[in-house]
Amino acid sequence: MIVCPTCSKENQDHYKFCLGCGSDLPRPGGDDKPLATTTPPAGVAAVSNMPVPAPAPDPAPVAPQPTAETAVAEPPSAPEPAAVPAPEPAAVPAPEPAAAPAPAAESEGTQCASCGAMISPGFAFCGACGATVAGVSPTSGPVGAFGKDSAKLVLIQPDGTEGGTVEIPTSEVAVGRDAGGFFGSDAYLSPRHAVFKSDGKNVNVKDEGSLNGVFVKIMPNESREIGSGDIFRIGQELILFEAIDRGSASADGTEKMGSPVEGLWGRLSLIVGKGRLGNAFPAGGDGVILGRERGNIIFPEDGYVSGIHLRIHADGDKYFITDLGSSNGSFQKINGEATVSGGDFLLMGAQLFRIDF
Amino acid sequence: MEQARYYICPSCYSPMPGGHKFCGKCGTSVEGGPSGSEAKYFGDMQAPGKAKLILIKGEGMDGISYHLNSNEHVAGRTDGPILFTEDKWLSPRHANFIYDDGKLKVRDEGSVNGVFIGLKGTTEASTGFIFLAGEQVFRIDTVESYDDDAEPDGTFFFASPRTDSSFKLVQILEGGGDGMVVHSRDNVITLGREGGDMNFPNDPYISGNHVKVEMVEGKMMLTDLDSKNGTFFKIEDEHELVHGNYIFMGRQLLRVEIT
Repeated sequence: MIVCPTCSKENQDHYKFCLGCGSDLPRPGGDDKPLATTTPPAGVAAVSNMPVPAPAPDPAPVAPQPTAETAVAEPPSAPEPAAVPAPEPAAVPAPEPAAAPAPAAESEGTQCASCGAMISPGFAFCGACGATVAGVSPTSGPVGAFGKDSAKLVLIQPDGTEGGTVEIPTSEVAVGRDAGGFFGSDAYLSPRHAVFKSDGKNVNVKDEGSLNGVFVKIMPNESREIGSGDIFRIGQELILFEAIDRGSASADGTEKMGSPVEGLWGRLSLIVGKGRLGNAFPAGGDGVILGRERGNIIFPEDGYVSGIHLRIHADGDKYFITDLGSSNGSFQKINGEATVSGGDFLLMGAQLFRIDF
Repeated sequence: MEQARYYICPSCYSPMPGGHKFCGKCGTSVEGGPSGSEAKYFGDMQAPGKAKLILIKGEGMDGISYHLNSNEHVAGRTDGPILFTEDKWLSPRHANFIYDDGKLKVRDEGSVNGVFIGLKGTTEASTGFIFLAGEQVFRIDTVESYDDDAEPDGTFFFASPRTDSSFKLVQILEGGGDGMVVHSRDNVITLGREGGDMNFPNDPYISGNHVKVEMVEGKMMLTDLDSKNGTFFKIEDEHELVHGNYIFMGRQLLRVEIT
């Protein structure tokens, strides 16, 4: 029996809406398995050891939708908005490898005028809040590869916490199983999977012919253009999109017969093995909706797909995919190379990463 | 007064018994006389044991019949005598209706789209088998086993979850491309307007439950589920025809009548 959080009425386990008041019922045991819960958008203090007071966590990590999804999408472990805890122990990761060079002198540091954090000697800016330290000129540290234009590739673990970090310098850095560290244990990463380069504002990712590719996450309600032959992923499903080819008559002028294609512009196929396609579904008219329970194409057995997950539609001869506020997100495979910015998420092998500046 | 009962010799006017070729009285040869041959029918339609094709739907008036009185009868867009000049889905020389040892057969003359026979009950199918239901065209393919091994460099390929299937149904689109594909579950695929494994709610010519493809003891069997408009399968080279068979080629639907 499920107890309704609004009116406290008992409802049977398979009900989605309360019999007494009609509000959404949380499903027992959770419905969608979150691939990675999002960290609070206000961010987490990554570089400093200081116990910075954690910002109030955002109550709705995904776009609010009047479906049972919202009730479930909030992981049971997320704190309620009302109770803002003192520093969230889960959110503050282990000390990150310092981006800046180690301070040369061991003498005492100064205290930041803005936030009170301790600043090591020789630093011109406070590590916690970025305020300028009066009277100190920046020491000359190594300029170039690892410097202020570096970005970070942050591993997001399945429980939503941050794992390790990799520097992305302005020169290229290769990432893959050969890089070792947390990359070494991912069997879906190629030995040399992709190459990253930062220019201070954006990061350029180049797929080095990896077996499984590099995927960029589409933000909720964001539309991205997709071309014939492109691949995207929702939940556990890897899907190939192709535009319909009307074909041509044979040499002697005979038309090739087949099912009517009126209104059809595309075809979605599941990739079930190396060079092997599984079931295929037509896409036409106003577009098709994919989801676990609702939509033209459903995946009732994939718990990582949201009830209603993604829409694909055509506009003239261009095609677009739109994430409909899914819990785990939709990922589009990059063709060769792509440019991503701070806050973007990447899926490589079996791991999720975030780009930070 | 009465009419002479027998044929009269043109020379001596003596009566000649039937079947004789020379006059018994004067010896004149009579050619073109009583031939003793059988009476002819007024029309070919009356000839028993010969078949005809009735046009059920297609180019021409419904009900028009084509009499198969020779040994061979070609059908096509440009080669006749069974001609459908406006049907772009017929090859120039599409099919041939022949008598082989007294039996009527239809032979596919290497047409692009094939010759289809209406299915009664169940028939065996092999990989590449093509059939029609409503406005849809399908192909049955067996499913090969999958290779899930790691690459030589040790990387595993990430793929969507799948169930094991022995065969799949592929919808063939106008122009020849592949459309919808459904893999078998528990060795069976049902097809119809709705409620089956493959559904076509917008096709008015498909029945609720139209056709079933099943793998039985290693063989694929195609069964028409008493659909209203029938299921048609593509013949290989030649197929014997019996009374009541329906034939579909290009856009023409014909019925065989053998009296």
